[in-house]
Amino acid sequence: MALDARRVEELFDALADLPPEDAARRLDEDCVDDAALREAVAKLLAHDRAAGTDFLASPPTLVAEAMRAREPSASPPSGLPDRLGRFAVMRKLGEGGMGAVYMGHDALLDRRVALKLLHRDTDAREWLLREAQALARLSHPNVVAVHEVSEHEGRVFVAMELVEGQSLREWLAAGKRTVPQVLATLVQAGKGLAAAHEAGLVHRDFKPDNVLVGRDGRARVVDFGIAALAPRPEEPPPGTVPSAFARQLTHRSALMGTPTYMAPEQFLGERATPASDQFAFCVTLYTAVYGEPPFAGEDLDSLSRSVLAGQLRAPPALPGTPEWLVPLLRRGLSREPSERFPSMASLITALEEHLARLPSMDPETARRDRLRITGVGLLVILGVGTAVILRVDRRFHPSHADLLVLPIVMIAVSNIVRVVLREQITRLVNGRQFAQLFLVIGPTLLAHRLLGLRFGIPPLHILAVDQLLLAAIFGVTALVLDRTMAAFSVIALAGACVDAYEPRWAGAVFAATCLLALPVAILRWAYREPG
Amino acid sequence: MARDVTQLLEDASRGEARAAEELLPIVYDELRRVAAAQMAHLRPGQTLQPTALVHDAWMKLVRNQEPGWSGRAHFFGAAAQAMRELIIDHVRRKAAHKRGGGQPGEALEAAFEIAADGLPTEDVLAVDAALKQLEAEHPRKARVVLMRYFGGLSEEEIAQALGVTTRTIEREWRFARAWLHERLSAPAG
Repeated sequence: MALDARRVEELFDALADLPPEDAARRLDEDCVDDAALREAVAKLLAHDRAAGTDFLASPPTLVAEAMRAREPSASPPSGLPDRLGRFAVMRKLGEGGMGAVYMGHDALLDRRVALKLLHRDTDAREWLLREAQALARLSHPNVVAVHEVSEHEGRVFVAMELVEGQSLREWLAAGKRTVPQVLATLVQAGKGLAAAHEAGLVHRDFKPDNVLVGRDGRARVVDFGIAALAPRPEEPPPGTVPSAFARQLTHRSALMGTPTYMAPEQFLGERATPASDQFAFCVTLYTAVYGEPPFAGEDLDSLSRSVLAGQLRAPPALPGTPEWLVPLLRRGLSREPSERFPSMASLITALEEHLARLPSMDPETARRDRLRITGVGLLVILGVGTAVILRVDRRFHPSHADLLVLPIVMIAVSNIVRVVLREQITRLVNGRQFAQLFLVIGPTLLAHRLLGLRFGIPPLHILAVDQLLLAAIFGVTALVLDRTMAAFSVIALAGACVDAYEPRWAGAVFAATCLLALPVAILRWAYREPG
Repeated sequence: MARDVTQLLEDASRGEARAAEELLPIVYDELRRVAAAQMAHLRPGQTLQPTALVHDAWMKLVRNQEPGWSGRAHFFGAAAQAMRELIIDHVRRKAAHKRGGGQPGEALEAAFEIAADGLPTEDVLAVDAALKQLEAEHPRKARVVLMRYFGGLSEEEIAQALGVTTRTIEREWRFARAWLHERLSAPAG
């Protein structure tokens, strides 16, 4: 009896989710007269349960083979060579996938050098030599200087400037770096890249490991073009990669070193261009500033998808990260190379323009500065305010002398404060301009009051006009420095309106305006975020 | 190139069988190219997912000329089939090479190895053979297996490509999986 495939399927679908006993019972009921159908469905159900979750769960993947493992000649000799060309080898500094790095001595020029001895790579040798020779001609403070490229027993070695310091990755991890510090360091590295681009070189593998930050704080880009040819650094030494290695590195766990910084066009297998370097630079910058990479993806698969789809993560709102950075990064991380900055140089120019306006201040100093300015400012205002209240009578009718004492005290105090807090003020954004605002108020009031007294104007009228003067001064500040100051201008104006109807309250209104507006202005000044 | 593929996809959507046939070798070649290019960036032991390859081939061949969902379905169908052939060809050649009879591998073959989770590599061939039987009996389910197992596509993508609900794909996948497990567990298949 021919099996009805449709029936098998229907029964399977209906019974697959039932517990085995229930399914068996239902099966008995439904297939009383069809043993073949019963058997077919029962078998399928059994196999549905028997098939582990692994079964066909993930597609067969392509695993990059340890190609070098098959070429015994390619494994580097473990011993320390005595000499590389004219350089004496002193000690080994490290070992990477590209080859070993030694500290060497150049007897001719009596200087220490870093020597990178590359693994044998016959295909790439010619090309590498040309590339490295071009690099040797490039001289830039932000590019590790290549002194010489030569061969040693058929293997290429590069003699270059020995940088004492750490890689950018280590530098970033070594301490809490502020955004201005990170930006300044990366701008330096970017200048190195830009210079190389102008010399017709493409890095192809820009990443934090390929930027060295010297003890002098200067960033230098290293390994131009070399990295693209050899297997990645930080991999286990060739020859030790068992084929079972592939098993453990499943798609979820295998986070790759360099693809994190790869541009979309590189994912598509196209040649890297200066625009690809720009992309890698922006990934590095984004990651350094926000602490997470711009494109989500735990593995090559999902990473390439989000990079190719241009799905940039929204940068987290971290305190101290300037807003202007986001559009710059967005442009540098464009899917299409043509939509990025026309060159690294123009990206760096754009960064520097903004950077000039960013105070280079570490958060701890900034915090202490704020506390001091706020403390001193409020103390002074409180002191002067108390003195005024004690001195004038209950109804705030100041005498002629009182009118002159206040601005004189103000001039004296603001000058003393300016001298005492000079350092803090200069460190503040627009610090000097704000200090000048306080310096202007005193003399303006004094001049106005002297004039008023000279022409015999009653003190309360003088105070009412002072009120208008304050409104004008805060108004101008609002236009020039900080829009929020407009609020104080409005407060002062409101006071002037009260004076117009009730001139006898002018003294109290003036005192209230000063006591209210000045502390808030000081707070606003001290806590103003760089814009 | 990109225009040809978009055109082919449109023709295939209109039901031209020849267009679908012409599509396969183009997609196959592109997958090989994409795989080879991406391999160059990998460290030994790192893996390349079929999904990534298929999507990259899509980006490369179709880019911005979105050929509509029907064209998309044809493309992913073809890509999954191409991926299957790529993998099976490779495993076959590798097996032949191991026995000493094969040609030295091509450039790409030297660069990669196949890993199938939960299955020994040779069993990929068995899955392929069982899938052929499934194709004869349940063509639609075989297509789901093809797209999911060899193409690495998600259930949502398959549902979209075949114009059915995700629930249907889930059901068909479960059935096909049980079916294939039965075939593969049978002694001497």
